[in-house]
Amino acid sequence: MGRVILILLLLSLLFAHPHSFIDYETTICFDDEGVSGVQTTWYFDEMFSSFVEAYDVDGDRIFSDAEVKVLKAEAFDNLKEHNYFSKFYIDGKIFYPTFIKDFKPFFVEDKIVYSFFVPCHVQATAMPKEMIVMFFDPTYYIHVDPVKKEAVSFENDHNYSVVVNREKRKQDAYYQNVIVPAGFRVRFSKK
Amino acid sequence: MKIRLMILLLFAGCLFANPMLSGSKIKEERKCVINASILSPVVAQLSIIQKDLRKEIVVRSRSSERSQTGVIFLVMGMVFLYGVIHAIGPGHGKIIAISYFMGEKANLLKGIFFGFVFSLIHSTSALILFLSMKAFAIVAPFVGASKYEILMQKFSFYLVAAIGAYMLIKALNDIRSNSVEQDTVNGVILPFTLGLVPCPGTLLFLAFFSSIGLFWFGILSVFVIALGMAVSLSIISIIVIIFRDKVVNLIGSKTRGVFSSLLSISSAIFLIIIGLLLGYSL
Repeated sequence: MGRVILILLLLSLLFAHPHSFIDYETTICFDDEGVSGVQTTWYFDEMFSSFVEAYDVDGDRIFSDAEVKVLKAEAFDNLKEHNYFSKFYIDGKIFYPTFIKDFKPFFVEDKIVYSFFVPCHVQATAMPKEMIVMFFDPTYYIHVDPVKKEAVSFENDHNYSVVVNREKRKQDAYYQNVIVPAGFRVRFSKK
Repeated sequence: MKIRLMILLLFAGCLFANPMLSGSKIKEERKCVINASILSPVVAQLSIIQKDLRKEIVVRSRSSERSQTGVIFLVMGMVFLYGVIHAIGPGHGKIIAISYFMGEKANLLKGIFFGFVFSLIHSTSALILFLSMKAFAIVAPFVGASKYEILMQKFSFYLVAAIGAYMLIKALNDIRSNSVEQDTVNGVILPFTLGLVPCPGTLLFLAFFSSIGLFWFGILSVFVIALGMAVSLSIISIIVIIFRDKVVNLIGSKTRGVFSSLLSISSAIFLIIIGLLLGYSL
């Protein structure tokens, strides 16, 4: 009983809870120099999607350029203040992305999906370099998790040796230290 | 009309600090001493259950059998369960309820009353907000609505601090007069005050059901979620009331009064601090 009460008390120290959910997957993209960035795809839960659906004004389930412009301005660009929910480590140093490219919203069944590219250049050498990729909402308004299947893939990596490990990042726990995000440790070097 | 309503809802989302919609930089990374290893799996599990429930609710509500009585009961059963779990998770003023019931001697009925009043007001205020926005979208631009609502939230938290101050004065008066005056006012004002902040989860349900043409489902869901949350909060309040009684009874009769006063004072101070902090942080 004491343990239950303690947990209830501790839980109660928090002042928000997830109201929306994002499942994400990423593709680490390579070019001739090394890593060029992270292609990111967010799948919103069906209920929150019903909000964003309203931006498909003509209801054709395809976002036109004009619809994307409004949606991006009203329901995406604000995330710049939150580094697009991303936190990377490059060789041990924190990197917060400040801009993205190629934002594209679309439908997958009843879900709204956001796709965008996070530029992040890391030159590859013969010595392995390390990158940790995480996505989470530090306010915990939105619960962000990798998709259950393989959440990380690679593009244009044929000239590189690449290894990826999924891990729980306790050192990056957020929201009063209670939520532990998943992180992907990517090691790469020139072949 | 539809887009205006939705945009308005999205704007209203700002008052719940939805980072998707709010441009304000969050006051984040405030680390505290809670051990992540204890709570993390619990909170994560609660989130997964809510996510799965919501998915099921969406699927069933969109299905062609949604008008069948059995499906309606099933959906509302899941909405009820969502309310129960939603209220167990972080938020919903539980820290304030716990603090209040740790500080005040109360009977079990008072705990149940707290849970039901809070949940009803919390959900109903979401309904009122939703209906107002619907009307608002027809007749006037919505700019400024979110600012108004943030002010309301601030007011609610500062009122909690004021209730804490009142409880502190009362506790000090009790010590001075060497008697314990039963609190009857704050037990009503507190859940009402906390409930004034509309429940974003309820608002999502309303918007969802409305968007698929099941407006009355949405209205019903408001009260079903409220019932679910009321069950959880009442149980938590009852646990705290029983816990307080047991702790106080463990203390020797000579020091029982002093201990009880200390509980009241510390709870009151805690409410003041938490109310001011929350109000200030918005």
